[in-house]
Amino acid sequence: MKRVSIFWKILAVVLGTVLVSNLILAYIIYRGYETIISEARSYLPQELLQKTVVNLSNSWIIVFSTIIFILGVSTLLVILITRGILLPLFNLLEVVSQVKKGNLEVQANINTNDELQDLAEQINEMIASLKVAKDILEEEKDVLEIRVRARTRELRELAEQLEQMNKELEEKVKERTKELQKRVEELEKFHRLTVGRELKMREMKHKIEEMEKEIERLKSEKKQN
Amino acid sequence: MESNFLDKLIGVSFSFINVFPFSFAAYFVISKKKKIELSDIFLFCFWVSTAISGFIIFVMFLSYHFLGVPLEKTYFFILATWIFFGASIFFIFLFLLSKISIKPLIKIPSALLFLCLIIFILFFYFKGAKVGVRMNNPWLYSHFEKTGVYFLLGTIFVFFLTSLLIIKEEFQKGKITWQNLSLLYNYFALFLYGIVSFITTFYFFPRPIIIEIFYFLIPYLVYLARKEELKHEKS
Repeated sequence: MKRVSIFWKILAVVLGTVLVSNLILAYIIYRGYETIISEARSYLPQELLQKTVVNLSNSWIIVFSTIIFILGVSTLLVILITRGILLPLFNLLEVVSQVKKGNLEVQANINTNDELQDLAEQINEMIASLKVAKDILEEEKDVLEIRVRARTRELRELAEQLEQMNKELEEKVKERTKELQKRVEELEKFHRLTVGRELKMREMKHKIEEMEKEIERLKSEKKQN
Repeated sequence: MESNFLDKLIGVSFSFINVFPFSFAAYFVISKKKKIELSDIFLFCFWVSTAISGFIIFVMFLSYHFLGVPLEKTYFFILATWIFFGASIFFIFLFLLSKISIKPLIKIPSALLFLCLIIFILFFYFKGAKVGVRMNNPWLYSHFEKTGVYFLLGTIFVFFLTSLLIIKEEFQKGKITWQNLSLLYNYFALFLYGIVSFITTFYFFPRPIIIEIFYFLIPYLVYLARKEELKHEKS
């Protein structure tokens, strides 16, 4: 639905009322004159009566122009009165719009000594409370930021320490790995050496056993012989 | 009809008092103005011519009612009054013409045409007119009076519609705002002058003093208009 300004609403009501009341008044006066003329028809001279009737029939110009005059003056009054309401309202709208944008430094300066001034004062108080709340919030935010910064620094330091430790550990692991590799190599060498000897020992043992068996066989042959 | 002393006094004093609103209005139009535009000059000339015509009426009433000047001699006063009244109508036409947004090529011929029309109306009004008394004051009776009244009615109606059109245009252009109603006050002053003059001049009853009091609203409106303009210039 299309928005209609307060001015047009008030103007329509005032002009409508003025127009209707004036037309009613003009009609009543016209009817009154007509009644007087009809009553005086038998007493007044014909010439004077004729002149009065002509004057009365011409009176629409006076009625019309007077109604226009009254409508004009009423419009002027409506403009002056509505302006007294609309200008403070525009001021308040501007202030609220500024507050909406985040500007809490604005103040509604209205000195009309009426409800609009009360409204402006209430809005000013609201802006002041909003400003206090915003200041507190900003203070809290600053404290939180400082805390977060301190924590971040601590965490960063811890991370750095951990990284350092990680590097040290890696180095240690590398060293140990090298050592272990060396050991493994040594063990492999030892293993290779020990396994070779054992194989030889086994061969020798096997040969010894064979030789012992040969000796035993030879001994038994000798006995038999 | 013989008028009594009180009627004469009221006629003379009110015609004298009426000069002040128009003089003040003329003064307020150009007061403290750094840059005077053509429309301001026309408006100033309009208020000056109305003030002069008001002053001539005062001199005429004074000389006729109290200085014993014969009725026939007042013809020249009436002539001067109507000439200045015609000039004021012409100046207001020029003012409206300077405000309306039409091509200058149309403006000049229409101004000349309107001037010719006024001269024509005045010429035929004075041709064969006879000096008489109306509402105890000198008046010029002419067979062209009815035509003149209709011309005046038509002119007021056209001026009124043109003013509304100009107000609409200037409202759309942003020249008239709720913060700056200067032009609107000027138009209201003109409207008041037009309608009150019409009612007081063509009233069928004795001078309607109650309506004439509204003349004093005119300089106040012009003063308000100038005040608004100054405030707007400062801001």
